[in-house]
Parts: sequence; C-alpha cells; structure tokens
Amino acid sequence: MTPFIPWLLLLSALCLAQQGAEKKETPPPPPEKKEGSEPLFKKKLGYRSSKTSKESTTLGFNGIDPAGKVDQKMMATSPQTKDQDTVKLMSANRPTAADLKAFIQEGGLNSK
Amino acid sequence: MTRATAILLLAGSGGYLLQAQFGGLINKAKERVEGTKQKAKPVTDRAERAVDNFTPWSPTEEQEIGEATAAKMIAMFGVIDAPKLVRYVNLVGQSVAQYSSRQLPYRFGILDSEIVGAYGLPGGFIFITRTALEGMENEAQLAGVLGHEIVHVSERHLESQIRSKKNSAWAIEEAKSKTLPAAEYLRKKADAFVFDLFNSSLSQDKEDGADERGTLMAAQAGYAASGLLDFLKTLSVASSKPENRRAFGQLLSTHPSFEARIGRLTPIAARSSTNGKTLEARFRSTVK
Repeated sequence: MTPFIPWLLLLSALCLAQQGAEKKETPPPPPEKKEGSEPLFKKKLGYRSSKTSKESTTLGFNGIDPAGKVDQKMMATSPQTKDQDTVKLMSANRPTAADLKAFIQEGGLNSK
Repeated sequence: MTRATAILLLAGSGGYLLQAQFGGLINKAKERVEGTKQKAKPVTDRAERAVDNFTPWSPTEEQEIGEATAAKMIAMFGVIDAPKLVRYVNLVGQSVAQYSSRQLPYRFGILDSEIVGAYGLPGGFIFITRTALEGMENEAQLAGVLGHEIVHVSERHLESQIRSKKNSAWAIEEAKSKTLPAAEYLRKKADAFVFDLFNSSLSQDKEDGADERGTLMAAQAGYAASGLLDFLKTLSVASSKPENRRAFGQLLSTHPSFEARIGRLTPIAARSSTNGKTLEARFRSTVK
C-alpha cells in the first residue's frame, strides 16, 4: 500500500495543475450591460431642460422604477408657477398660419 | 379487491377513455363558448356602453384641465428648452393636425425623459419624450407619432375611458373633491388624469384606430405613410434588448405589443402609400 502513496500524490498534483491551467484559459464572461449605461439610440440630443437647467445629456431614469413605471414620488410632483408659465409659453409660441404655410411649401407637403 | 373498488377503477378508466376519444370535441366546444363570451363582451359590459354615452367636457373645461395636466407633466419631467427644435416639432404636428377630425389649438412639447413615449392631453397639448425623438430617422416618423396622439386627443379617447370607469383615479377624485376651491379641484383633477394616463390602457380598438387614422392623416399631409410603421419597427428591435426594459416598460404596459401593432398597420400603410415624403434631410438638420 505504502509504495502507491507518492504516485497518488503526484497524480493529484497533476490534476490540480491541469484545472488551474484550464481556468486561466477560459476567457472572463462579458460584463452585463446595465440599464441606462449607454444611450438607447445612437442619436443623443444635448439640449437644456426646463427642469434641471443643465444640458440634457446625463444618463439616468429619474422617477422611473426598474419596470419602467413612473414612481409614486414623481407622480406626486406638484407644478410650480414656472411650470404654469411654460404652459402659457407653449400656447403663445404656436407657429402662425403664415409660418405653417411656409413650412409646408418648403417641404413640398400638402396644404388643406 | 372489493367490488366497489373495481367499479371505481372501471369508471375512472372509462372517463379517461372518453376524454381521450372526445377531448378534442370538448375543447373545441369550450373554445366556442369562450369565443362567444368575448364577442358578447362589448354588448354586455356596462363600462363599455357608458363610454359611448358620456357627455364630453365643455371647451372651457377641456382647456383648463389640459393646461393643469400639461403643467404637471412639465413639473414631473421638465421640457426641452430649445426654441428651434420645439418650433420644428410644432410645425410638423400642425401640418398633420390640419386633417384632424376636431380642430383644437394643438401645441407640442418635448419632455426631458429617458423613457420612450408620447402623450396626448385634453385641449390639444401633446408631448413626445426626448428619447423617442432620438430614435427617429426622419420627419415622416415624427409626423406619424404625432398623428397617433392627435387622434387620441381629437377623439377624446382617454377622457371617455376614465370618466366612465368608476374605479379610475379620475372618477374617485371627481367624487370626493367637489367641495374643494376651484384651483385645488383643478390640481386634484390633473393629478388624477396623469395617474390614469400612466396606469390605464386604452382599448385595443382605440389604439388601432389611433395608429390607422394617425397614419392616414400624416399621409394626407404629404408624408410617407410608412412613418409610424417604420418607427414601431425600430422600437420593436430596441425593446427586445433586456437592458432597455426600463425605457419601454411604461409604453408596453399601456399599449399592445409592437409586433401586433406592426401586423395591423402594415396593410394600411401599404394601401395609403402615395409617394409621400420622409424629409430626412430637414429632420437631421434640426433634430441633432
């Protein structure tokens, strides 16, 4: 029995060395892409937002839960005077009939 | 084995044989009954009948509620403050809105949000998200999406739905807020409307109708009839990636699947094709 022990030890050592080598050869799995880690589409608009007063290029889902639903905190947001003013501006800045006519002509679209 | 056990075994195996022999027939009969139930649903469903019988808001009410709701949406997300781009979106929207069944002072804004969506509010306020705009390739696609929302607004789709359902946030708020001062009442109504906007699904016929009539209006305006269809195809591909789940969760929770919409819209867009324009160059020079 005793003469086999060194051989067994040697065999075990060889097996362990082989496993180690195999582990090194296996390439690491690619990192999983995180939600919002890169733009959804290639184009990225870099305009200012009325809310943040920063350039709107930061990635992030403010007020959106992981399932994509608007969260309760966001839903509870109350409009301030500046938001009501923005609504008034939307109405005041509507293009005129002349603007629309010129736009339609420029694009070769149809006018009613 | 007792006699009773033997009878039970015989009955059991007989039942199995009957099921094996006539299972197909039984299942077909079940399907037919279910089909009849589904066909009968629109007739028997009180909520659906109420939708057809509701009294619409007066023009003043609609404008007030629209303004309050738009202010809340802006407070929640913020809007893109880029006059040239916003003007462009308004001009595209108005080009399509000329062919709307109900003329309203349509106004268009861009919400600063990472989610993909577009929203039609009472009184003619229509918003598209920044991310949705980023996914578009040309003006015809924008025209198709805005056309879809114009139809929802002009035909009062969400208004009729939430006012007819007793369990909508709107109906609950309307019942309990009547004694509040006018401004507070309006704020509560806007809260309820936005809640329902993000949490209720319109019926499939309303969504299909908005896809179809939005496409037809854009084509009448001179745009390529494939605009909305092409954009839905882009969204279908993007939404299949797991990392984009968050951007599409809200849209997909309130709308039919992109595949279903594409399937229904394809023949309509093909029939409506009249050499309409995509105006890609004008779109690219403005949306950048």
